[in-house]
Amino acid sequence: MIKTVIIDDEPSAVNVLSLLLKKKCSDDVEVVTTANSASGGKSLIENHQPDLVFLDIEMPGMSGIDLIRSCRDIDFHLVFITAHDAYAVEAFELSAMDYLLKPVSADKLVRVILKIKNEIERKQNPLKAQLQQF
Amino acid sequence: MAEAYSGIGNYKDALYSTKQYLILKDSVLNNETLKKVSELKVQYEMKKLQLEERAKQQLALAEEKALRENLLNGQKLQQERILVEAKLQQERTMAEEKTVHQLAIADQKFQQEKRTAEERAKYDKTIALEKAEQEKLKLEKQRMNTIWLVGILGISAIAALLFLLFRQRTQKRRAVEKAQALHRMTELELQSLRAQLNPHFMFNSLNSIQELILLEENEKSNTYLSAFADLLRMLLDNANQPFISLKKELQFLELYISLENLRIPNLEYTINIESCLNIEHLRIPNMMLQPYVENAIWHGLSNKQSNRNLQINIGQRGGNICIEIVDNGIGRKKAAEIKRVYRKQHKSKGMELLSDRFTLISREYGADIQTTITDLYKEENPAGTKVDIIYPSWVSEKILTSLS
Repeated sequence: MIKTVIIDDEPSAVNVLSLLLKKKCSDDVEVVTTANSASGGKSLIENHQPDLVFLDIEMPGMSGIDLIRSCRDIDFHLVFITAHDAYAVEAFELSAMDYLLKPVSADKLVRVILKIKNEIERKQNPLKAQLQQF
Repeated sequence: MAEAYSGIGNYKDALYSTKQYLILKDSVLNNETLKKVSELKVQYEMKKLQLEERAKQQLALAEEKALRENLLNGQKLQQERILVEAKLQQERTMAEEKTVHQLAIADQKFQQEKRTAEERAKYDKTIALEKAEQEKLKLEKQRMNTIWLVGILGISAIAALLFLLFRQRTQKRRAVEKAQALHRMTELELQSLRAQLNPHFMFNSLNSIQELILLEENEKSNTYLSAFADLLRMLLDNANQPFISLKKELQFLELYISLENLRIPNLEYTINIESCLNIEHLRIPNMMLQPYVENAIWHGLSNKQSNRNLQINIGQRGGNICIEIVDNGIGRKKAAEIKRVYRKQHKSKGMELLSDRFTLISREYGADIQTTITDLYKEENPAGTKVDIIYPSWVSEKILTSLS
């Protein structure tokens, strides 16, 4: 199970993600907690040691980018969520980072989750992963 | 009778009378008087002689007298001649003298006249010279005047030409400026539309509807989806209209607030309109109120957890439409602190663009749309923000007339 944390100031966004994950990826993903601000999210990450973090970029007080910068180690998979930020999307594309756009597409969410799941599995069991590749 | 005559000495008459007498005597006394005739003849002869003598005497006397008189006359004549001559002489001399005198006078006169004539001529000449000089001066003056006139005309012509050129240029520049202003206005309108179509608002609204769908709240999701479609339609309809009716703007605001209400729960709002206002008739710049309402919701109210209240009051004060947008949010100061870290790159352009549009409207219509933002306090704690917009009613009339 992928321990997941959702950080978004929009309650509806958090709800949508939670609901979609429950519907489509309930076998692989478990949302352990959610936060409505970056500062609150930071302590959650430190406390829960999640495998995956869905992070909104624009939040009051502290942005998602600020949160990531303040983290010492990033030992989790990160998926950015944004409603509309052309510059951010460009940056994600260039750095091959995962991102989702609001309103989130269920198909895309499933693909992202599958990709992350494979990566996690590869890390945990490299042989199995290599075999899978063949 | 004859005697009588002769007695007086008038012999001829006496003679005549006598003869008469004799004739008479002959006829009457032819017979008796023959004897007397001889007597009378003698008498007559005597008498005749006497008379002749006397006549002779008398003649001699007369001659003498005549001679004497002649002499006298001659003397007199001589004298007169002398006198006349003297007189003549005198007159001649006098005449001569006179002539000389006259000549002298004439000469003098002539001389004088000559002198005066000369003087006159001289004078005339000087006058003529003066006149000529004057004429020359006049001509010079005229020439100068002409030169001046030509100069002035030339300068005026140049000035007029320059003025025309300048005016043409200013007109051109003004036209260009106007075109630029129009272009800028359109651009600003489009930008305001884009800013209005705040992407975050749009996608967040859609996200909220998505949530409703996932929660299987079909009726609610349908309602909000329709509301969202209405809002988009209004945006598109109003997009090419710089001015819309106040009613349309308020309809749009209601749609907008209802969609925001989905995202931000417990958002209560009231719109109060004074009954005297004809909101269908009044024309205001498109999206004049929306940015303030958006600001109130996003910065004032969304950062608050409960009791979110928004009031829009519209009234008329004198010739102005007064619009009041009041929120009981966290206040500008706190909102600004949050905003600073909230969106570093993203600027809320709505207000900036609106103020630019107000500037353009004031330049085009000469109207000053005043906006005042007041921080509200309740017992020294921030208790929201109030925005006052004073919009002159006549701008609306001007827009309406320019449209028709």
